Amino acid sequence: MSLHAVGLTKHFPGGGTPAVDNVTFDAPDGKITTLLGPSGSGKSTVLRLIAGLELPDRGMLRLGDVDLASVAVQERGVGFVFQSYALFKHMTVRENITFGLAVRRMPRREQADRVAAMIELVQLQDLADRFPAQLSGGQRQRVAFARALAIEPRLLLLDEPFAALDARVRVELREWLRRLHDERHVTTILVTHDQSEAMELSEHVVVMHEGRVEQAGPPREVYERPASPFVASFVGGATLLKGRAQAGRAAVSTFNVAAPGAADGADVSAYVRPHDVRVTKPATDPATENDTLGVKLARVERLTFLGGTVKLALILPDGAPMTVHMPAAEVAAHGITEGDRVLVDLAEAKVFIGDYSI
Amino acid sequence: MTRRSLLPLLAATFLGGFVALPVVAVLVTAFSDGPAAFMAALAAPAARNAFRLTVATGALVAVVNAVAGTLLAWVLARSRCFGRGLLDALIDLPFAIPTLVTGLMLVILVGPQSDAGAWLEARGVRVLFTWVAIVIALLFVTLPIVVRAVLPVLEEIDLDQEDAAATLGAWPAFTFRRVILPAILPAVLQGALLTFARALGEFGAVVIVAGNIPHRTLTAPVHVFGAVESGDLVGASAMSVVLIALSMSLMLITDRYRRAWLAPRTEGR
Amino acid sequence: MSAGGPARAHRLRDRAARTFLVGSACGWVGLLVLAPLAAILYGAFREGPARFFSSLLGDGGRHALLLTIALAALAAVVNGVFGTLIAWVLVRERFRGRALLNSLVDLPFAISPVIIGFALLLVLGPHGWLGPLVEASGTKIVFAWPAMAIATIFVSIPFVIREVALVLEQADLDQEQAAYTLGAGAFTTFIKVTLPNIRWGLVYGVLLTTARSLGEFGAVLVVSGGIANATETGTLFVFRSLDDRRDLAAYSMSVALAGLSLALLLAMEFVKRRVRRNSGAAR
Repeated sequence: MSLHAVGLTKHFPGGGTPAVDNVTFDAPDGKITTLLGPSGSGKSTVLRLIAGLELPDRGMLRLGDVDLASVAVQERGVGFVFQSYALFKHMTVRENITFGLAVRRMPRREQADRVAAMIELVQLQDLADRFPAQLSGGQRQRVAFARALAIEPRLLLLDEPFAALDARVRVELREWLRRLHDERHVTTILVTHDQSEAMELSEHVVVMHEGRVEQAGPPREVYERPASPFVASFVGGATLLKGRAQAGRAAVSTFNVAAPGAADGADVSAYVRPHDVRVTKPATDPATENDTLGVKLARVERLTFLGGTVKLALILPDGAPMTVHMPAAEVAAHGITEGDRVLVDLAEAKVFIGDYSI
Repeated sequence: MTRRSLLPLLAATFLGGFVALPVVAVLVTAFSDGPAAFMAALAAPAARNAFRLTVATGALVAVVNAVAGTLLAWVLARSRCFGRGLLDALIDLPFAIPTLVTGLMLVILVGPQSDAGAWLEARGVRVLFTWVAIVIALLFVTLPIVVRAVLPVLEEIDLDQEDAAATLGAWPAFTFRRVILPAILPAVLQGALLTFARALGEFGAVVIVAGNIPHRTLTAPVHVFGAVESGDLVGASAMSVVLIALSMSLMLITDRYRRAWLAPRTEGR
Repeated sequence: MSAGGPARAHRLRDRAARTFLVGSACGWVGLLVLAPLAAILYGAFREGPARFFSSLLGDGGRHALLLTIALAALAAVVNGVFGTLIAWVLVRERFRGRALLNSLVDLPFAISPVIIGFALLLVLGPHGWLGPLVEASGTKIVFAWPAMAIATIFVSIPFVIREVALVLEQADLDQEQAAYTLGAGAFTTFIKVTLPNIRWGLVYGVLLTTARSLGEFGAVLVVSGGIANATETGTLFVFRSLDDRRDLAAYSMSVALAGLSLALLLAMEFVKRRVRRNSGAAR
């Protein structure tokens, strides 16, 4: 069942600017939609508005054909997985999962069958009679999923579900969630601040910033064609370089980029992704900081191995820092080491006209 | 390390001398004339009625304050309204006010010379020198116990749990019954049992409002006092032994029970 | 606009239920606590402040008030010192009989004050276990201030121990061990490291002890003999005044005792806040 949010606005008492400001987006049926943004961007509030835990000041929510304004949280049939998991501490795993079914007065036999199926789904057969305090973080997370899924929700809402887990468990559970979704196709809205989580899990990404939607679309599109400087920097960790336009081009730092449509003298911001840079080692003129052709060189401040790729922290000739990711093999082939003078080439830069500071 | 073993010895001497020795003295005195005399002292109608009255009023007070105390704890934990600080302080007031003063306050409030007392008297309701006055005095004196037992537990239940229950379809009444109540029940029971134990021994607040009419409004601690005054050492100590045993075992039971309940639910924290 | 409707109606019903619950809670406390408090204030000041003070301080009242304060101060000091010691021993030391000692601590709360007084009589009285010893020493204990002091100490033993133990359990051992590794002895470590850590717990416990001692009645009643201007405390003065039908004196002393306790209660609130802020800052 698809969800439509139109013009959602929510002020909290005492807060000056709205926590959620005129938010409009769609979550397509049977897909995972991610609300991606830094903390304080209002994404969790949107999720609580959808669940009915908060009421919007303005705006409309529609689930399928139903206007949710007339439906209380108890009747919305949404499964909510909280960041803290919010498991009932005094209930066992089994009792936690049964809770939503007991509320619905489902016959006991059916309850037991459904709960058994859920426990199997999340592979907690051996732990069904434990209390939450006796489980690991990943196990608690799976109980939270099972409890939310047991009521066969029309919509699954996940609030930073992996944030409290350590890295290895996080990766495992992400894959588990992906498989689970492929089996069940419950329309899902995932809130996260982790762009790799958004890229890996979702078919549709809504980037939020300061209570507003910055951009919505498939992950690839959001990554490749950021609609705003914020998206460019938040999704992909781009380096910001500033300069001025001159005849449809702009000099930013030591690079010259195309700035189509920019008036002469206009401020230009160029966002350069770590992967969109080529670093090579030229034959240097030992006397100067230039290569043999007289082009100024950047300096490799630090090399960090991240496994398959290498992170290079560069200092550009004008002193600006830049982060670059390169395949480890390529770095080795060029023989690049810390302190080297290197030639930097931009494969691509996202250019925005106007002075943005984020 | 002699100094290290000296400190526990000093602690044991202090507690042993101040606490254990007198209690043992009561126990020995109770049986000084043999078990038959002990039983006879307890079986005397005045003693039996005093004990029955104390247990009945104590139980009633424990039940009422369990409910009222839970409500008060909930209000303190969940509402951020104006006057919450005042309410918080007022609840501790009975611990600060001397119990005798508590009794006196009630005499002034509902005694025959007061407006409220006269109004009630005109309607045939007598409070002072009846079991009702005993109950009110005990309610006052034990007011903070359940609140202080339940409040920390309530504050520890995060609001997410209530939200989670709501998304699973539970209305507030259901959430209270199935999520909140089970979590606080051990604390409520512990508070109620402590209330009961405290009520068993209350003297100052009761002695001036009860009227101390034998067989009717004379409680067990007042009975002990009367026996001491009249030199009936076996009678006084027999009742004392029963009261001490009862309230001590209640305190031990609640402590054990609470720990056993908590252990699997808070493991590893 | 679609944000109204039944969802909002549910909220309203919730709010109405909340208001009802909050209202009945406040009503209960008001009726049970505020009404009696107002009644006694009215009773004490009905005839003006001058009469309040004259009846408070006349007929042995001044002596009773001073004796009460002296006994409370003594109990606070003795229980402050021994309570801290016992708490430290219970939390930090492991020895045989620790569990027994631990359960002894709560005993004074579980026993009626009357019984405590009676028990002390059985030990210290002329025919008591230590009677011959007392007689040989030549001091009068029962029906004199020493027994009253012992009774007051007995009933208020648990406060300091419980409060200090609570803080000691939370204060991590690392600091004390760090002090040992830096060459500090046990005593220096206690004074320089442990005591500053537990000071608010100790202050809180001492205030509770004092408040409890000011109001002690049953135990003192049994062991004191209640002789005006000699062995009469504030509460005993109230009791005697009621018997003698001098109501105003009883009310005035009650208000004075309650006022003292209330001042302590306010001090406790202050300490509680301080502690909360301190532990908040440490985290």
